[in-house]
Amino acid sequence: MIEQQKKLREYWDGDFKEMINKKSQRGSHFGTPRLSRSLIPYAFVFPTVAVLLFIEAFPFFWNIWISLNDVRTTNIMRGYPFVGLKNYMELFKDPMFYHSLHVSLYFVLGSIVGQFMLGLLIALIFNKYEGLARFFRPIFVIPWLLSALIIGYSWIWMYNYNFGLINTILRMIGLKPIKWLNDVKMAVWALVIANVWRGTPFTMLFLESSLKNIPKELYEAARVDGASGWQIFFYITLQLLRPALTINFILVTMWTFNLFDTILVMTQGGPADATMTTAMYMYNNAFKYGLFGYGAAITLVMLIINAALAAVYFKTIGRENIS
Amino acid sequence: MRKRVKRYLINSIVIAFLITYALFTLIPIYWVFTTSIKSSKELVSFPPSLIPKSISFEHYKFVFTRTKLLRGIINSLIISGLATFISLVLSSLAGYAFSRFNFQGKKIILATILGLYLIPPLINVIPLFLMFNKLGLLNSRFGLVIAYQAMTLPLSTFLLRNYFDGIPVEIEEAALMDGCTRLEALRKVVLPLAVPGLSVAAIFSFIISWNEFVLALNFLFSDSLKTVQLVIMGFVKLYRIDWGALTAAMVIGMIPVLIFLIVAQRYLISGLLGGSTKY
Repeated sequence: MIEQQKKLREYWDGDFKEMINKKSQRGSHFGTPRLSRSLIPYAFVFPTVAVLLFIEAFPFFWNIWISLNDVRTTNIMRGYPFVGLKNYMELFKDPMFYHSLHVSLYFVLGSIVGQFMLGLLIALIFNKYEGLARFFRPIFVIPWLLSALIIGYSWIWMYNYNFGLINTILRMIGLKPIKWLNDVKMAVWALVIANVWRGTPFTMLFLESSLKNIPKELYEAARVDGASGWQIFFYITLQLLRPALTINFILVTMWTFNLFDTILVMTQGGPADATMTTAMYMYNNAFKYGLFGYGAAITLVMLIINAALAAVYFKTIGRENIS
Repeated sequence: MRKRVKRYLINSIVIAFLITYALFTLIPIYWVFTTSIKSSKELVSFPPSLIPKSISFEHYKFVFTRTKLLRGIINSLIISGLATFISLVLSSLAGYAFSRFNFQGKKIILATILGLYLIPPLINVIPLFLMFNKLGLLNSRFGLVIAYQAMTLPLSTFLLRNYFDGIPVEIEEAALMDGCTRLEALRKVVLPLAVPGLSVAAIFSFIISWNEFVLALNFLFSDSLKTVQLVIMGFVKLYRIDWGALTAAMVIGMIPVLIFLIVAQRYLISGLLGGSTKY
């Protein structure tokens, strides 16, 4: 028994001895170029990979199958009929789906524009003024860390017609109060403001950390060559920020397009479907009407839209420098 | 001289902008907080007062004595604590392997984890629901803990891998020479050195699980299992909302985040982005 354990231990430590015999290196991997032949790394990685396959990869693929079946709350226990592409066919004929894409367009575009203008501006300021950054950063980050539910209710309370802070101030300065979330025209923009409030910290932190990676010498060289502040910004900062901007754009677009938690709390798609984004429509179909198959079809179409948008970003802002 | 005036002007504009944005950030929270400490009488007076005229803790007393909030907090602590613990154990193993070993398929496995992490949670809500329904994991705390690993585990793995990368290998080498196994070296040598990294991963996992409510809403049915977010949600009735109680509960729901801000300020950037930028 002990003999066996010893053997096992020798086997598990095999790769280590091999590596130190070779001369250890400082850094993350010793014996870098050499692949270890032992099973230890796989044993270490296995639990994580297994869990993630179980709750992420498997559902992802099963989702495709669900979208090809007519799964409803009513037949979920008894077994559901295979319907092929029927869910998709219906989806492409569904006027509500097109309406939801339209709403999503406003929601995503508004959020991105607001979030990027503010995020980039703050990141640039923080990059230049260290002391101010240290004071303001923790404050600015708060919304990003709050739960969607609390964010949603906070903004409902802000927007409240009679008791909300915004309308109270509007009344104080003699303007007419606005119905915000109950107004068909205003509701989307009210959600956009709340979403910009929530999302800007991420863009800010992301771009700030990327700005820190731009070597200072580049700026100095440009200044020696007589470049103006704006020129430096456009030709150096923005150009070098491109990869980070691309990734940031993709993440933010994806998150905003797929977002439904704050909308679920604030308007649930109303009033009169004015805030029915595609994500919200999918959620309603699956969990309000119990049409899981149809909902799954929507998520897959959304995934394709996500991928297409990412490709567009890579092709446009992510492309190699021209200059 | 003109240059100095210009400099001064720019600085004032910058500070004015930052203060404005700080107000924008804080005002909704201020509004929630002041509402929660106004007396019921003041709450119904119109127009609402911008600064509370009286301070009363009646709503806090109400939510703790007359509602299920405490039960919700306990449920949330159990679920988030367990989710964090499982995440940390698994991700420290995986993070260690990704940091210290070079093995076949490492890049592919890392890319897969990142790729899976990028799948919007929305896509998986339906199949997870049906899957958990089949496996009997619906309406159970443990099911939710497992589901939360989709969000917490990849983030902790990347965070810890980056942290382990910064710990010099010489220290473990000595331990390994003395006959420690890999697992012992990780547990006795590396993990004690990685406490700051572990804390950041723990705090992020905890906050993510604490804040989550969409899965909880659809996966938990029993009142006795409801998390703090769901209890808060229950305060909103169709026609009447008791804003005093609701805002008091919301302030309590924010506490972990505020503690986190105080404790882990230094790690904000690396923590928030560690998982999403590097792999």
